[in-house]
Parts: sequence; C-alpha cells; structure tokens
Amino acid sequence: MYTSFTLFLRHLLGIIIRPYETMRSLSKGVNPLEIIYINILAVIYIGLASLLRKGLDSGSLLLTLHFGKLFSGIIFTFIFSWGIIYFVGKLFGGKASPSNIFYPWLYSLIPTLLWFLTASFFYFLLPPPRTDSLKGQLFSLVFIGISITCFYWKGMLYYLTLRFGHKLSLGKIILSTIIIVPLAILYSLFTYKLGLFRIPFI
Amino acid sequence: MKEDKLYQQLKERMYAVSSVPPQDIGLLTPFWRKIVPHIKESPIRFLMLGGFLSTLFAWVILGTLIVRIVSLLQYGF
Repeated sequence: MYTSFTLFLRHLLGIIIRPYETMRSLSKGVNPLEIIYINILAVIYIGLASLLRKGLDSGSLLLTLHFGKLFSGIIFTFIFSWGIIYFVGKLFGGKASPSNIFYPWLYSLIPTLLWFLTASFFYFLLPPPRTDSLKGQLFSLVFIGISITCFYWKGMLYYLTLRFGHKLSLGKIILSTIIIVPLAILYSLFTYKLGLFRIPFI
Repeated sequence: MKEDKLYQQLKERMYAVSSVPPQDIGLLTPFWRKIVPHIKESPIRFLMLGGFLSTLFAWVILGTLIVRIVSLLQYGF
C-alpha cells in the first residue's frame, strides 16, 4: 500500500514535471492499487460538488443520488473515452493492448479533476452569472486562462497516450483525433440530455 | 555487481528511448525537434504561456462574450 502510494505520488508529480517520460512509463503498466488513489481524488471532488450544488440543507438521499449520478457519469465517460481511443487508434495501426491505453489515460484525469475542483472553488467564491463590469471581465479572463491551460495539459497527455500507447506517428494521431472528436461531441450531447454533464471534460 | 546494475539500467533506458520511432513530419520536422525538448521537461511554463496568449486572443476576438462563456462554464462542474 505504501509502495503504491509512493508510486502514485511519483507519477502524479511526473505528469506535471516530466510528462513525456512519465507517460512512457505508464503505458507499460502500473501498480493496480494506483487506480484506487485516483478514485479517491474523484470521490473527493464529487463529494464537494454534490454539497456545493445541492447545499448542506439537502437531505442525505438527494445528496447520495447526486453523488451516485456524478460518480457513474465519470466512470462511464472514462470507459467510453478509453474505448474510443483504443479502437480508433487500432484502426490506424496502433499496437496497444487495452492496458497500454488505460493507465496513461487514467492519469490524464488529473487535469480534468483539477479543472472541476477549480470550477467548484470559483462557483463557491463567486457564483455565476458574471457581469460585463471590469471585475466581471477580469475574473472571466482568469477563469478562461486556467481552463485553457488545463485543456492544453489534457491535450498534451492525450497526445502522449496515443504516442506511447499505440505508438502512432503525429499524422496518425491527428487522423485519430479527427474521428474521436465528433464521437466525443455526440457523447457529450447525450450526457447533456441526461443531465449528467454540462461540460464534457473527461 | 554494481556494473551489472548500471548496465541493466542503461539497457532499460535504451529500450525505453527507442520504444517509439522519432517523429517524422516532413518539412516541419526540424521545427518540431526544436520545440519538443522544451515541452518534455517542465512544460507547465509553456502551457501557462499558451493559456495566457490564448486568453488574450479570445478576449480580442470575443470581447465581452467571454463573460457569458465563463458563466456557462461555471455551471459546468
């Protein structure tokens, strides 16, 4: 348990400081217990989000239902994204096994969770809607800046997942992305209709 | 024994580095090879710079529409 936690921290730091080497190592596999720590981070976020959304005064049943909805949404969205990356990569000659994609993609949840936690914090600090005043615009710029940085980080980890998982060249990664993005948009519309996610950032 | 361990580490490093062929993107390859070493180590600097420049660009293009987008994004968690 201690070893897996140490490895988890090392990989966590690695995807920030040395993502290239870390994702290369992750594509070879990790200690399966590391999945638990990422799940713990996800559970912490979901708990905070449920409390913020529904409020402390809500009944425990409502909170539990909201928690369950968010948690299952994250799990299904992750499985869906893992699946399409694996299968679309295979179409372009990718050589990965499912685990070669699973572990790097699992760690790419870190920028996702960071964005969700940041959005939750700002929701608590300054609930929307924003106004067109100078303060509103400044806050909006800061929020957009953080969002775009997380998005670029996620994009980089996505590229490295395909690069080291499927061992694809840049051209094939771009072609895979051209197929994956419309599928992701369709899925996000589906989850939006279900009321699961408003922003599909998994 | 120490030399064997070092040799094993070097061998593992060699296999790791050669696990994927180098990127070849035609005429853009030299440009790509100049950028990538800066992104391999501590890319957070370039990610933040990219985020900052993209934000400025979005503000110039979209203007106050950014405020409505942020209001929408804030509901997104």
